[in-house]
Amino acid sequence: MSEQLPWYELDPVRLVTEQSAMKSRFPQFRLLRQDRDLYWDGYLVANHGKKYRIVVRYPNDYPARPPKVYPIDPVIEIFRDEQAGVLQHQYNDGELCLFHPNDRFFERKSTVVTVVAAAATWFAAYEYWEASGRTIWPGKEAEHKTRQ
Amino acid sequence: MSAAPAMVITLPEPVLEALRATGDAPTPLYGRLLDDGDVAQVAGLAPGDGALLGYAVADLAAGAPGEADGMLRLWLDPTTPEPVAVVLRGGRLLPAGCQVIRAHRDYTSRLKGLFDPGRLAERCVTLIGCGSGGSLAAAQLARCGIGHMRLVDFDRLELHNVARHACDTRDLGRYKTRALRDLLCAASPLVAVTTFEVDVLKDHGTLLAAVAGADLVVVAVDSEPAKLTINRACWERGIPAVYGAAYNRAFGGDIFRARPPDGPCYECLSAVIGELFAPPPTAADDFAVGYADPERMADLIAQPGLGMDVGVIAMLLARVALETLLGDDPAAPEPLPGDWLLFGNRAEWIFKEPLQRHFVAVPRREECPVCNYESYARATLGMSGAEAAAAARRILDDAGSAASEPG
Repeated sequence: MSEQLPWYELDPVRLVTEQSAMKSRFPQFRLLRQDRDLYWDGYLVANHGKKYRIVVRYPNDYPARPPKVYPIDPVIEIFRDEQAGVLQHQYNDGELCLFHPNDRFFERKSTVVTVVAAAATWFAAYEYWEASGRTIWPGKEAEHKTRQ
Repeated sequence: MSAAPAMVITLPEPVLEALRATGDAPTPLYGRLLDDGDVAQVAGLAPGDGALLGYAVADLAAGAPGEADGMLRLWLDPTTPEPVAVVLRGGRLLPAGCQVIRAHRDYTSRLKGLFDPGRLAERCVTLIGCGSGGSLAAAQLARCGIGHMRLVDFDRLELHNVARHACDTRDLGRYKTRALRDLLCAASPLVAVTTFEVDVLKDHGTLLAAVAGADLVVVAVDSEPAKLTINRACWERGIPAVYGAAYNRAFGGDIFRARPPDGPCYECLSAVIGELFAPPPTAADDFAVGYADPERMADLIAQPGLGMDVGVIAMLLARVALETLLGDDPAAPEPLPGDWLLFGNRAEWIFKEPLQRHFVAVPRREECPVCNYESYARATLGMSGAEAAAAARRILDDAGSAASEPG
């Protein structure tokens, strides 16, 4: 069984574009490589100064699907049902739910910057939720299933 | 009016030729006996070919040792091409009819005048996605006389598939590829079928093997990432591909074809579809976020939708595939007015009334990373494709390892 060439070798123009966009908009992020996988690692800083370290992973079939954002520090798990291990606003592997996959939020012309900006919005919602005594999450919530 | 034959015997031409070549008599004949002895389908000369049906004999009157009541006798009259047959019933010899099955001449005889079926005997079509739409399209393509088909799918046939699938309950639990292979071989004596039980997103090497050398690839998968992967594999190898899609509840569907090196590729369509229309509701829309992940495909419940609605889209897919396969054959069906055909079973989305169709001219994108890479590199970065590859290499060389701390 063999895998397709990684996306950045199929489309090196895309990698150059991604790197340039991140350097311009989120220069505090570093591009890292683990085997075939590429991801960005860095901090987002909220309005009151709290830092959220995230990694942003490119899927193998990028850009057919958007990059995935995982909170690293602090560890964040928002449970819908803690006993069942079901999260809300996150997939069950911890990935942040940033948009519905069919709402065309992430299109061909989008880059990882779109996703990091969406993550910043997610953390703003998260802080609002914390401040509301963990009762109010701005925006609507889709049903989640576990991603592999 | 002559009396009806006591039995109808079907005899494939290769079996007849084998009988003439052996010259031995008596020679046992094996196959299937149907409808209380009304029909005997001879399949071959070996016990593995079925039940013992009777014997080819040197003398119709003499018979063969071991024959029993209800068995047939076949005599190869050296003066005529058609064998003479009788059936033994109640100690009497009754005249039987013998149909020699000349597959290449007879099978496509009803296609004469439409196009040259002989052109398709050497053609190879790869079908990726053997679900309801793919199976119905493949069954029609095989019936056109295509000589070689390759079937790719990782899924097995379940009961909820059967209401719309070309295969039936006898195939429950089987890989869709293998069930469909048997159906195609039963539907056409001209087709040879190879199967690949893989997910094309997980096994790229097998995807490339399945499309290599094909004259046409028919894509009937739901997954958009799979379509984009197949598009790249086919376009880079100059292989035409036809993509079929059914919308939610099969209220309609569309067929797009890519013919490298000219015209748009599927990536072009995928990028501009939102600019042409609001996107059609897809099967994915009714499901939770996890649906979009191909890993979750096995969890999916079959979408509701009438078999006949899916079938209309499948027939159009087969029709576009045939027209594309025959290409510029002057005897081919009429050329299609566009590369993207949209068909509405019901009056929804862009369809103002039931059974409406639109052909849309899809532009080839100047900035398409699949079919127009140099232009894409120039437009995006102002550099050549080779220069972009060198720049990407430098970025990869500079990328830190996984253990690094964030910057």
